Amino acid sequence: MTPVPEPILAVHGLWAGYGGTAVLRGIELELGADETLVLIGPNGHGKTTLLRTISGLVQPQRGEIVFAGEQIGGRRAEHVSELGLVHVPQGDHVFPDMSVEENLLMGAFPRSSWQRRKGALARVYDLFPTLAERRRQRTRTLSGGERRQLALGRGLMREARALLIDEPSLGLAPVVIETVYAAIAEISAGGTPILLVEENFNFIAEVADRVAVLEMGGILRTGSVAELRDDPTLAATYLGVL
Amino acid sequence: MTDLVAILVSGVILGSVYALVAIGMTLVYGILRVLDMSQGSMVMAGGFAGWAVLTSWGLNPLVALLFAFAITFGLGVATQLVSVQPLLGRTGVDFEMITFITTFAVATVIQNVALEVFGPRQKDVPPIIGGTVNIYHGVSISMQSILMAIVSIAIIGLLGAFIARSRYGVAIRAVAQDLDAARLMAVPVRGMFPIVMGFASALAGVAGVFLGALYFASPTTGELPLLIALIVVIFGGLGSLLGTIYAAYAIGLIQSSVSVEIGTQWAFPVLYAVILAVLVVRPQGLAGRPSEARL
Repeated sequence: MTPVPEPILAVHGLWAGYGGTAVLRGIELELGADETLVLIGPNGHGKTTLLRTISGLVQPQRGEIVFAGEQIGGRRAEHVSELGLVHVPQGDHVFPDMSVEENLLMGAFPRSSWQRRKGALARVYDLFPTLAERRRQRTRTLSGGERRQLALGRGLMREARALLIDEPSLGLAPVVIETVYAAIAEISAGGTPILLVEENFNFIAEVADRVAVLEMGGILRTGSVAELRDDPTLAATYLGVL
Repeated sequence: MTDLVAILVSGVILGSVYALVAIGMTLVYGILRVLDMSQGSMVMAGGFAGWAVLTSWGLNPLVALLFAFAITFGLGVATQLVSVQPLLGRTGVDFEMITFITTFAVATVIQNVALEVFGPRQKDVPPIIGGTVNIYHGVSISMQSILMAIVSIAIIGLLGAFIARSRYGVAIRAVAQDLDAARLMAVPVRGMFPIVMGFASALAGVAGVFLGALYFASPTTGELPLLIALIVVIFGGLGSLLGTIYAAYAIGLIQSSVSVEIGTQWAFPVLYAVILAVLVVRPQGLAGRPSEARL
């Protein structure tokens, strides 16, 4: 594992899963204070479970998770979120019977963010003009691409100390993917640490400081995009280049 | 014309108090997926609280309402902590069914404690406000009923504004629509559940003070309100606040029109026949959506 100086997020020996079975089997991972780390690996090997365990939606069976110097392993999701670790989940999880704007406002629920919600709204609308056009619309009636932008926008309503983003481009039309990628690239460039699950190699190459490969519930390797590209088996399997 | 006025007035009054009792159940079902069977015992407890303040202590009616609110709020929080909170997040249980029974169990305990403390005899609760008004030829109505309707409508209006606009109001809707997502937004869901159930119980408690004065207070006075509230929330569409309000007034108006036009003894049979017919055609209730989507 590449050593990371003063990581914002560190995961050591983490086991977690559903019921009695373990999906994650001893995860070791660190996220630097201003880096974008992209998590790749085959589907069903634990990427989403790792994000859900870090954010507290899944309780760890063993191991530790340290965020900004605090032990967060085993804490409930609402407490982890309160600390400024923002998870944009797979499948959007937007609130279907609220307006677009109410959804965004929920992203600023913690008291300190609530006081600054006006500015945050303006920023998100700037990033996603479609959301501004649809601010009064009921979320249930949005298209898949609009919902994805909303989920991401909602995650940006607070000044997150770190972001977990799960497959933001999954199932979207190419035009929308560009908008989503541009937004993530902007946040990444702004210095917010991001742990991102993503498959598109061109985008990974553009945005990632490092890449971690998760296979069979463990971190197989971490390294820069260039390092992984030089590994012929990894490159062929995960990065889509030969 | 006299009939029509009588039907409308008594329908609106009935509907308002039904809405007040039922809206708490809707709120609790919306965020917790618990069909709170203790709601009737809160009406009863509110009735006794009002009776104690108004007769034994001779204090003023506003104190009676506030006291009933406080007592039933506390009882509601306690009920939630005892019968619902321990079951949260347990896997492999039918949460809705189990809490239906556990809240019913608590209600039965409360009812029997009331029987032990106050005895089986009915207590006359003095009206909060006396007098009647003649509003149309031959149609007169007690001030108590008018006040009951006004207070109910005011409370429901305030609740609606709170849910629609405030920070915690939006959060309550968030919990109802997607629990995990609400937690990711840092909504303190576990702390919110007992407070919402306490608040729901307190609404029933306030209704109990008014209903106690219209009828009386006794350990079993919560049974009919519970049954009606259950019917209202299911008829309106489980978890739908607007549906609950529609259903409460629809049921109030059906009941009053049958009472006036055919006879009081037919009010409930006709009401249930209508509800049966509507639910067979529209099982999700007036404003309910199949499965997801609540509040």
